[in-house]
Amino acid sequence: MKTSTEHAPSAHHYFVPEPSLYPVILSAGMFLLALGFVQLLNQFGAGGWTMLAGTAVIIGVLFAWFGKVIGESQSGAYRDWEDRSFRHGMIWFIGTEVMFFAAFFGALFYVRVLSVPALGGMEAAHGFSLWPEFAGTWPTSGPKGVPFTPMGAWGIPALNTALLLSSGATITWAHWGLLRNNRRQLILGLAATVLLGSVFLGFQAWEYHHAYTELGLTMGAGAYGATFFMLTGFHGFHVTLGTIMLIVILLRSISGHFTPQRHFAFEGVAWYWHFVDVVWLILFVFVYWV
Amino acid sequence: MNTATTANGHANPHGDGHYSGLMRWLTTTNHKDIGTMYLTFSLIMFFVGGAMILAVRAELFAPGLQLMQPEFFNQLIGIHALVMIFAALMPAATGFANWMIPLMIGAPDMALPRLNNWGFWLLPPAAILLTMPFFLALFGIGDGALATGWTFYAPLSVQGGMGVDFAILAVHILGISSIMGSINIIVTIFNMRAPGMTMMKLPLFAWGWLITAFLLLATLPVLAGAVTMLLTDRHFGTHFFDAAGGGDPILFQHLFWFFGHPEVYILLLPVWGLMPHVLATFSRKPTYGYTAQVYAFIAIGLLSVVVWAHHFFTAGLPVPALIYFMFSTMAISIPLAVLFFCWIATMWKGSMSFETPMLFAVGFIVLFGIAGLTGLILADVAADAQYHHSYFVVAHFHYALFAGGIMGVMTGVYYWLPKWTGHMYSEKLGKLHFWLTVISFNLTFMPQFFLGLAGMPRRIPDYALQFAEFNAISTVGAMILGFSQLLFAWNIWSCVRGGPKAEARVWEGAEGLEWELSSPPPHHSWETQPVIK
Amino acid sequence: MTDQPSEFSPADLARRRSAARRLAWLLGLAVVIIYVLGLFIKR
Repeated sequence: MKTSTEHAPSAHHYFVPEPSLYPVILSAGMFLLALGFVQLLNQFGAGGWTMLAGTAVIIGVLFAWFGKVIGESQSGAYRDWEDRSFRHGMIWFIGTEVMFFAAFFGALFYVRVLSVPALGGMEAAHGFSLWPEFAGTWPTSGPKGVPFTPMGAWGIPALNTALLLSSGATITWAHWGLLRNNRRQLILGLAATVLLGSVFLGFQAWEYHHAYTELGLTMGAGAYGATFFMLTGFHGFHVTLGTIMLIVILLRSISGHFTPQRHFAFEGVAWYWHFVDVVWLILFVFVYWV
Repeated sequence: MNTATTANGHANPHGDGHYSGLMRWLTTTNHKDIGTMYLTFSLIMFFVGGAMILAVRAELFAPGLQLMQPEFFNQLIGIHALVMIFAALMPAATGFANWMIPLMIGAPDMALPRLNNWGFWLLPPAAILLTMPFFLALFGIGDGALATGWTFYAPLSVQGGMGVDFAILAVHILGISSIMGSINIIVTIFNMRAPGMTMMKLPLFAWGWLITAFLLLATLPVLAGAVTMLLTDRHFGTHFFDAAGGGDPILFQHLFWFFGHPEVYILLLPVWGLMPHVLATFSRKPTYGYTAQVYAFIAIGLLSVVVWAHHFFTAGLPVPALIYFMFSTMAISIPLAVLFFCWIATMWKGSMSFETPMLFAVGFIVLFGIAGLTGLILADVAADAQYHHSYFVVAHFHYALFAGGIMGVMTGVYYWLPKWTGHMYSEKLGKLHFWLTVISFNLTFMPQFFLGLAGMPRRIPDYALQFAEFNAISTVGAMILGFSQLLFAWNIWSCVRGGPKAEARVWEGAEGLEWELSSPPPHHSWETQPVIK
Repeated sequence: MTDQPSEFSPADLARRRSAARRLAWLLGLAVVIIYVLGLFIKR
């Protein structure tokens, strides 16, 4: 490789933040949270309190860390070069989230296509079955599972689909407002998105309540219950995170942050929101509908 | 590793260490400091994991139960693997990446420095979570660490004690750490290259790591999902891995090995990236087949995510699946053979000299070749029925991960140590370390091929009498192997403390940006980027 | 840095080049011999 001692002309220095204690404290908080969780599951020591301490540390340090980042951003420390790093970083982070959901969708497809039909076809295939009366049809809680009613697609879930799809539209409308420097449209659009996200979460909570109290549909309801609650549960958790992120962005917009030229935080949150939106669509089709 | 250049008086707005002592390391955002922490942590955990397995080998010295109960034996085996993979090998590779990628591509630092620090500091808590149940058991809390082997197979892991919970949470934290590290490396390579350094001028080490990072991003979340399902099966009543509820224990194996097989390449790709640098340097020739190696990395990366089920051929997969996974697995040998060819062709007609890194590199090629060839045998579905879960597999993957992984890391350490510390290590001790390692490594693992072929199952603390001699030989080899690593640690330690001064271009055949900086490089290097012609 | 590679003279390097080449041919020959011998080994 040919290299040269001559240097790039007048490129600005990349922003390397000063030393920071936040990462270590965040790690310590996560350690406490994990330790407390194991304690709670195995009933030794004051697991609940350890978890609480860990959560408090995590929340505290996240406030401080993001506050610091927002401060740096407002002071103009980030320019195009840093901005590109954040964009790449956010894209690949969302990529890992996609793969996390892929694991649970993989489990869903595996039980629906392979393990449940195989359990139902034991008698035909091998002339022997532990559970000859098991039909192997979906939805099911398995050969020894509890009876339950599956969640229908066209009540609350369809409404929730409409809510999330319109929230995707409102955040895009807010983005257009930001690009045209129409602050009112930006703030209104974000507020509407937060509202739609929150209503979605409310419906989801109501649906869980309905499932547990009236349908007999619990996490213990075999393959259906497990995939249903883990997929919708992790999705709901991500919507919750997304809503919190949206609220932060909304508050920042109200305080006059973001310019039409530089607003990575807004776009990062918007990408994340579209990602949970797309996950919901796949979920609606394969968990609720077909 | 002093910071002579940080005290250069000018007020540096770009994160100079205003702390000293412990606080410097806790708070640092500097890629060199973070790389040093990764490498130090890795070395410590290498000895922790090694001590565990020496206890196991001691137990296996003779038939019958000598030193420990089977339960404790199982715990040592599983935690040895998790520690070596997640806390020794992966951090070593990440340490290399942190130290070298910015120097090699002319970047002022990693792209996301604070995240970088977080990625490192997640490791010690995870290591504590992993090993803590050993100590809790001493106080009568729980029944010790994870006893399922590192693979967590259901239903054993669903029924296991609280060591499983600790390991699950540790894996979550290790996963977050690796994902943060990988995102950082990808962003650094895409966004921080010196002007003029196109992707096809990128050093091969960076290419190897780029593919590694993508594999980590694609597979670690799946492992996180799998162990999460395990956790809910254990404590929250789900039936992912329980046929009575419509689930399937084999599902766990699919999810685990969707991560687990690419993990092998995650451990090896950084080493394959580093090998051409070392071979070219000590053959005093340019790397042979740069482009071919880049495409081989990409091909291996793509193939590695579609071959996972060869780890459980005997679990009862349908025949078409067996055939598919057999042929796709064997297909990996083609790009891998391209790499071997390029390594050998780089040495062909070279003026070779055999300093310690070169010895390790050549030793790596030979021994890793054995790993590859025995891997082909295991990839054969019909033959695998005989070899599965035997000591043949243990020998195979130690040729892959010790000779391929750890000896590769040692190659890198000897190659770059003078650059990092500014001192030359002791060449004499280095060569002694190499020969002791290579001979005792083969003494340890070569007999295990024969044990496996003769039918000795892995992960069992006792064995039939006819296996006694080879097990005794293997244990003697393991003890020599383990204790000769103290030489390695001593050599590193003395090199950090002092020694003959290293020049900027430590090896006169070395090419690349990293050799244009002083040894050790200034605390902040390439603040003004070089221009590549 | 007394035992460092920069000490090699051009003559040294040339000698090493031919030595490496000879060794490579020898190794290749050994591989071929082992392969051919293998053809005659009956189990």
